[in-house]
Amino acid sequence: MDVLTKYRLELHWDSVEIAEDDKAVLKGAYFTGPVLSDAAQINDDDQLTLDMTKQHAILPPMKDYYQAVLKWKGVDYKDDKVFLKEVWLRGKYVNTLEKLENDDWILIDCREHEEVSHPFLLVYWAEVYKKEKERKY
Amino acid sequence: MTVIIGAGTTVTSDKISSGFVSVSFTLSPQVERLFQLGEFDAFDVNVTTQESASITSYGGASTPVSLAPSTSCDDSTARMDVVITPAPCTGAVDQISRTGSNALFITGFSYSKDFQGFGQESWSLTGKPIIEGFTGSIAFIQGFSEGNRITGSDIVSNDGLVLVDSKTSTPGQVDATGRNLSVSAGSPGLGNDDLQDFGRVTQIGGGVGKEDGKRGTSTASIPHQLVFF
Repeated sequence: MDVLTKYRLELHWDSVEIAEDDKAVLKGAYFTGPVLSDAAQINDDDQLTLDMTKQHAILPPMKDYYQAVLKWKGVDYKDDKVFLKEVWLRGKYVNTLEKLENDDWILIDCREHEEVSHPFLLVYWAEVYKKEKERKY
Repeated sequence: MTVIIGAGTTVTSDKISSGFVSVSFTLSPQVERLFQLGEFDAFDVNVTTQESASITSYGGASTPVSLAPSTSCDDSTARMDVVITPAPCTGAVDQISRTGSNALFITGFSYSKDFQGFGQESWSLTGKPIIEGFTGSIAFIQGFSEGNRITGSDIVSNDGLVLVDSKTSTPGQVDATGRNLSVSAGSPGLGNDDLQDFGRVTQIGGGVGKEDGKRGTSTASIPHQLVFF
């Protein structure tokens, strides 16, 4: 996924715990990336829908689209990162097709979520990256 | 411009279970002013407000909707319950709920899918006009729906359209078939040579999500007419 640098947001974490079939709890999760310098204050108790369909469009195991909800209950701004509290990711393929590991991370494109366009696009385009591949921030 | 990282707008519908991608909702008032000679203040004002919405979602998540022209002064059955909870950047806004007798009417449908990736459906919706001071009844009746689709061996098994011919409504028959051919210069010089069927549409929705190596394009228009009584 090509993401303009200024709209690039990365989600990293220290460890993953599989809580339920469709839910993964992310310990030590934080946002980082250039988009944070232009982003509005992130709410303490909030969520967003990640759409990772395009990443798996040609893989046979997934028969439909791949959307997952990322939810958190607290944020802590520190340096150039935003640490998230009580974070989980819920989606049909989170623990099957896309079993997340501790070194994985998710790239999120925020290009279509500027103030004027945010209410109309319901999802954030995203991709899961394995380990350190293409990690930039 | 500021970027928002957080909850976006959410949508629910009785015809689409999930997989929403984008939405828009418009409330357009039209103000008609009655002036009389000698005064710059309007003698009377007539305000008509029209609601419209469009929803895009992934294929494989919608329930097909049957289409048939109305035969009485009852509201069209091509309707969709929609609840939109907007995500404003500042402040709070009311939820937009159009369900039951307030459901929006389906006036357009389209499906598209490339060889790779997932099919997407787009629905165009319209509400009854809201006329200030009007105490009578309004019916929104359905007309004759028509549409078209690309056909061929590389087309998806279900592009969300049931197309028939206009004279006998026989499935598998259409009114006419067109042809679109285009080639781009280059090496290799690739292009498409597509047949396009035109006919009457009797059902929309239910297009496939994933079907690797297949593509699809279809569109339907569902005309509606206001009846005052």
